Amino acid sequence: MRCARCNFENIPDQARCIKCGSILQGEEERVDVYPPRMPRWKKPVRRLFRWGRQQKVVGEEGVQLRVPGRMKIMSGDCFLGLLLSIVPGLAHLAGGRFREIRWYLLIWFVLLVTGVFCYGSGFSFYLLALAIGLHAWIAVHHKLIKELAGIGVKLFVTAVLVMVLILVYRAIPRLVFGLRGGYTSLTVPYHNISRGDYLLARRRSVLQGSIRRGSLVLTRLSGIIYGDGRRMPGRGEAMVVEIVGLPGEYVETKDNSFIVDEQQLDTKRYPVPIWLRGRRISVGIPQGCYFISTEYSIRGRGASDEVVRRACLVQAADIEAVAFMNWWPLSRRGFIRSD
Amino acid sequence: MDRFSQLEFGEARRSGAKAPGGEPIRDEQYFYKQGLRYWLAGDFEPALRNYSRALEKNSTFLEGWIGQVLMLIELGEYREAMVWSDKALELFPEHPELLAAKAVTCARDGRKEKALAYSDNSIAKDNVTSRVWLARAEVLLGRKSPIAENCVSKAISIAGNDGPVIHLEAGRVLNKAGNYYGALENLREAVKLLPKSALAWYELGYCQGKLGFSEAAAAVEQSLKLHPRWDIAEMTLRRFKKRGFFRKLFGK
Repeated sequence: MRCARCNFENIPDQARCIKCGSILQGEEERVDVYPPRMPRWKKPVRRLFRWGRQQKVVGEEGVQLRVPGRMKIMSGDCFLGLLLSIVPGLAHLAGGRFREIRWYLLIWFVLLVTGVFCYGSGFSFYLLALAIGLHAWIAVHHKLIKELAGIGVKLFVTAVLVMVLILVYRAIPRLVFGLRGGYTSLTVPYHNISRGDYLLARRRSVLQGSIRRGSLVLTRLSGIIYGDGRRMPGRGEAMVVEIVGLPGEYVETKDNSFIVDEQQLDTKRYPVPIWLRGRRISVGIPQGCYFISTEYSIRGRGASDEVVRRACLVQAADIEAVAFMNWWPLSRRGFIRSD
Repeated sequence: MDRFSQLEFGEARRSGAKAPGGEPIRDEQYFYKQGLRYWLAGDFEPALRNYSRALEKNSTFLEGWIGQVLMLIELGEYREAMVWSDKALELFPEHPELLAAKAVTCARDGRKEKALAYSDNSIAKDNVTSRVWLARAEVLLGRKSPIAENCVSKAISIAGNDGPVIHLEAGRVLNKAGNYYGALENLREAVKLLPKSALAWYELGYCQGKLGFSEAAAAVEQSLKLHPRWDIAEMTLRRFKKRGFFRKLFGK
């Protein structure tokens, strides 16, 4: 049998050419003749890496992640691995087992990003809960799950981890970005804000003393009414209110508008809350306090002026942050005018 | 065997082996020729399918393996082309054309060092074909080497019966590297020898367009006549027709 490549005359029934090793006749097992194909979604990713290689941003062998030796050692330990898993997948990455959890990590990332994007809406809490659950699973999957015996213990440890992660997820925006958030019970047409909107606030602004008339601030109040059936914070939760009067000023309500030091305020920017409408009050604001506008559940029409005074005045120390952005709903998302 | 020796260029089909009923025998050669025809029409996906069918008939058919790898490269699936050429190399160890195909894959995928290594390896083998020299040219053009054009000349000089296709391939390689004057000469030769190849006309039109020639649109239109509704040609033609004076002048 003659080889098509090198023309060497081989012994009959030979599978491969003795001289060049080329295949001479179909081998007994069937050869797969259909090549692998690239999924369409990979095309832009590969193009990006190709561009990176051409621009010498990425090496010819792609992105090579180098994990520090100490981290590798840490990933070998059960507890330290768990600690590394505060960043999801880090313990797996350090231990060279990233491929095992890559899809879970992708799903976690999608859940987290979607949850943060929709934060303030009802379903965002479910998405974030799923993300936390998945994060906990990735963390225990690293080593812990194999170390523990019994489904009860495994579930208990996972539940504890979920609790810890909830605290971590709550703390990160506060500690790292100085962010707070809260719902508002006010409708302020000037800022395009409606009752039930979720606003983001910054702690730094309070520390810098940038509280002005018209600022929307986050503070803890009690006795909030929940008007339109949407989810609102429970009693004592942080809530966004509007500053109407500053320390030392004199605030009155008349004809459904605020009057501060005998000057009437714009009702679109400083709307009088429903419970104050039709009521005439006059309050002198003591030093260290602010007059705020928000919806309260003051029982009955006959509440005394003293009650009203107490409801509308907040201590400067109770103000946690100044709102800077309307985050949810998406249709009203945008920065709050600071003029 | 010349890889393209059995190809019917343009003229009336003179089919090869026929069954007693007059129907062509659907063996590996039949599907291979079909694949080549599709390739010359710029239809890479059906060309790949036909090469696969040729291999279904005979898995030791080297041209089928090479054709598959080349089509994967044409389709921009470089990683798959590498996998497939490795598989082909298991059947045909150290085959220079397969090594050359790997070199082209690496070069187009931005892996210049590997491309050069594969090209060095392929060129060191016996019975180096035109395609190996063209692959060498492509790798060297990517590295802006002055000897790249010598490799193109060498490929054409040893082409033999494969001349028309090698002219077309050489034109495409030079086109890709931005050497449009060098490409033009080869592509003119290619369309003369392969007047019914939509791919040749398209490449010629593209090259002429880059050089700012007024015949560019006509060449692309010709390719569209041969291969109607060809996306890439339609897009190029639209772009040519929209070009302003300065773009025509500077060949952009």
